[in-house]
Amino acid sequence: MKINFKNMTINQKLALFTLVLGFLALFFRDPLKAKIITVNSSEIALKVQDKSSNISVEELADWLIRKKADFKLIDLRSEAKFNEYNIPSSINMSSTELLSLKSSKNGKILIYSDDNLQAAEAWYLLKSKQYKAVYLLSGGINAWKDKILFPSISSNASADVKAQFAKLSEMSKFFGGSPRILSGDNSASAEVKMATPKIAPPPSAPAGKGGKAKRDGC
Amino acid sequence: MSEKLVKTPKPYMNPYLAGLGLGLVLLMSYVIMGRGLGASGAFSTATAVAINSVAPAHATGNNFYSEYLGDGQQSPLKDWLVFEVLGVLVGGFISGMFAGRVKKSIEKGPRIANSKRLIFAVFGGMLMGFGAKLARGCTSGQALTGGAILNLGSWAFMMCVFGGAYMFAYFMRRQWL
Amino acid sequence: MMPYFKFDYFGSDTGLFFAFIIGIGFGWFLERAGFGTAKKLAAQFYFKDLTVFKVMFTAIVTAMLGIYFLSVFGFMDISELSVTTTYIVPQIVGGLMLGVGFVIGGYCPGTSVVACSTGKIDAVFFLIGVFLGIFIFAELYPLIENFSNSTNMGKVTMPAFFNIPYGIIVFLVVLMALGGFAGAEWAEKKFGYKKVEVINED
Repeated sequence: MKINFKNMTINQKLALFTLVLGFLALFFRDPLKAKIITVNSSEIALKVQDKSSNISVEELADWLIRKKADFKLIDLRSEAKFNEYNIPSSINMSSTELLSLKSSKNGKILIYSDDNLQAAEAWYLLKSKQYKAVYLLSGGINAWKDKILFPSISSNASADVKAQFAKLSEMSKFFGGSPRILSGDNSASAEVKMATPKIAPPPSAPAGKGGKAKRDGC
Repeated sequence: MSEKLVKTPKPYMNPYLAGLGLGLVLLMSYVIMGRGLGASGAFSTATAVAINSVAPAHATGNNFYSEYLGDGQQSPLKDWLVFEVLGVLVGGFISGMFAGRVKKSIEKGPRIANSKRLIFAVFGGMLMGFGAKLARGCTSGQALTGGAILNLGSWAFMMCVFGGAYMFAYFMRRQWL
Repeated sequence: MMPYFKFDYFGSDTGLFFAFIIGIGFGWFLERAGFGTAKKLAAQFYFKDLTVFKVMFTAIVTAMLGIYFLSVFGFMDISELSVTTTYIVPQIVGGLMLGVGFVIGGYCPGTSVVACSTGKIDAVFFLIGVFLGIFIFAELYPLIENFSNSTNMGKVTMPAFFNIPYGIIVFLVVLMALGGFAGAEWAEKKFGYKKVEVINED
């Protein structure tokens, strides 16, 4: 049987073209599964230290006090830890939930955890999903507790440092923490006794718009 | 020779070319918006808004209406599907006008009275409206849109639409043939 | 990167503008195909005129191939496309209702809009019916909410459900569609209107 392309009707041409495309489809990688991200561990380590992708806890505290709401704060820790204590306005998400995050690609996203590596991984994940402004909370939740909730100062500090500490203490009280004045050497035992402030409102209600999102679809 | 009284409408487009065009519109919708086409969603929004203006307490108390009314931040009519359906209205009219097919008529077979046809139309519409809400979409929003991205539910739905129609076609033959 | 809206190339107000433009295209091709008249639509179910099947499947195959190749060549992030959740039993029941409604009413919601715009009185009545149907559904919603939300399977596509690579499903759909078109042409020759030009008498 001889097939003459010129003598074919438009329908036959379309059918042939479609068949060719359909056949070619067999030879490509599954686009749904092509989401494998190769991560370079040394690159991650560098990223975690890189200033441009880090936000300090003081900066975050300042944003929260000034009620800045142009960013999303994501807590990557377990739900139990999140319920125990979380930074105000944060939402709890696991790394897998992060994959299906629906958020503006240009919006600022700040992530924290109690584990630098986990946070860095999440940072990569979001970057690979084309989120443009993803930041790490420098030092994670531990830095938040140490520097914002329970800032400490040794009793024999200079006046300069003390002045700065006054500002920190104010911040600390705002978030329900308590500043500490350490006598002499840094005693590690003091940290253990610190109870994180109880969070009164249910943590699942993030600041921002309440009510249901409008239904999307037919 | 121009006959002004009897305008013969142009024949319809080759169905495969029309399908190709429709498919490209659908593809554009995905490329630009990341979502497909739809129709019945816009009617749901309109229904919810209508009920909300008559009985606001009733509408907000109903889970179905409140889903379409949104969070009250902006008008529920400022909705993607509402604007899309307005476009469909305009696009259909433009095409019909160019082809000389805009004409007041009742579409039916020769063996059925107009009034009966209209009753059937309302009844069929009711089944459609109800079914579309149960299935989360109609032929455009579910079958076409979901079909193109190989959505499992959409394909099951599509088979059932054709299945249901073919099963019931026998009883309706007087209306169409 | 496509889809543009999901990657913040523009806001939702501009999106509404695109909605209108896309709608015009949608309406145009529906009308061109002949979906503005119930007679042509209903003829599908008597094997007289299989335009509905042909147009629908050509459109699905076109968009499917477009999405697939745009994704595999890295122009589009397929995971950003919105997929509706599958509620399998309500969707089967809803689909059957839609099918029966289609052959009784002669339109589906989208085509009835086109038919309204070209002056079909029955389409106006059909559309009134659609509103009534939605109203009834909404009023009964407290009673049927449980059923309506049952058998939730999540956002699932056929490649994921059957665990078959996307490309193979694409190929199978193409084969099915082409086979269907050949069958449709054959059926029209056998059962169709005997080559009378498109009927539009009064």
